Amino acid sequence: MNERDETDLKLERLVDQALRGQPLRRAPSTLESKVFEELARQAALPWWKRSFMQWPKAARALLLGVCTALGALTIVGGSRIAVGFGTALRPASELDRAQALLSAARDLFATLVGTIPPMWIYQGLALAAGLYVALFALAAAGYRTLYLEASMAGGSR
Amino acid sequence: MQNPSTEPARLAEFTTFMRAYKDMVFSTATRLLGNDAQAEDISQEVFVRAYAHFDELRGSPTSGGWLKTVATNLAINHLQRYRRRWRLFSQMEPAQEDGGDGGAGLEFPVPDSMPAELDTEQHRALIEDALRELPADQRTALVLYHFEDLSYQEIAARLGASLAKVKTDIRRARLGLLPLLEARGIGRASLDH
Repeated sequence: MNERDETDLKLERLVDQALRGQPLRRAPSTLESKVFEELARQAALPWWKRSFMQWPKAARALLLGVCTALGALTIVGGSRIAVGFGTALRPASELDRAQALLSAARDLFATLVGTIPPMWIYQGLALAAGLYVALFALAAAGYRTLYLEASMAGGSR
Repeated sequence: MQNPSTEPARLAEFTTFMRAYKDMVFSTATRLLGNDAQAEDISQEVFVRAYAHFDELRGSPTSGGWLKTVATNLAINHLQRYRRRWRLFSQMEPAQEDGGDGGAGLEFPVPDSMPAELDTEQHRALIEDALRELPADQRTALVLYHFEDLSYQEIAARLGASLAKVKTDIRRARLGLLPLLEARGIGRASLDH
């Protein structure tokens, strides 16, 4: 063991000795009341605003059933739409159906975009970029003003 | 969740439970976060969750460990979320990822022991003050190692950091802590005795 390892071990023991001897911090006297206020607030919420695990069992079962039915409908409906696009006059593979769906979506998008004047698109993109930059600048200014200066003031005690 | 107002006996039992553990939960959170207000919020969340699981926790010998684990996880999550949120805007110190040998070496001899009076209330406050002055990364790793008895590997896994960074942070924290203690009158001068 070299000199540095010995020094590190000594340092570790020393810090360990200093920290382990520490008694617990006393919790603020307001903690209990805050916990009970939060428990009361949560208890006052209607069941459908609580977490899913706290819903009544019947409501959970119903939601699961509805989700399952919707999932099944989506799959069946997707297949029928693919058939509707004429790709399934013969038995279609899943890949054919997916391609037909993609193709239909692409055609729909192209039709929609074709009806919008190009100038509107450019103006929309410019507006979105401008809003993004403004939001970014606002957030950065807010952070520097509200947080950095406050933390620097707090750190200089 | 059941309405606490309709369950006075359960509520009274939970109050006793909370009083038994609130100092431990708050200490765990405040040492990791270095901020009493945030630690109180985390402690509140810990006990709200404990109430939801109170039927399993009441009378369980592992309830203290459960509370400590939840407090530690919530505090670490809070630190990581906070760090991610502001990293974009901050003028952070240069990244220390995997770097170097843990900083400069010792510029003073390491004493062999701390004085016995360190476990007094006044010294506790001084040491906790010194801990607060450490950078968050270093303080968190140091607290997990020395207070929570986690290994370097466990700390790296918890924090999502590399093993090298954890070792570096802990070494830097130890090196940084001694001068801070000394500045509070419990450093080398008193330790040399």
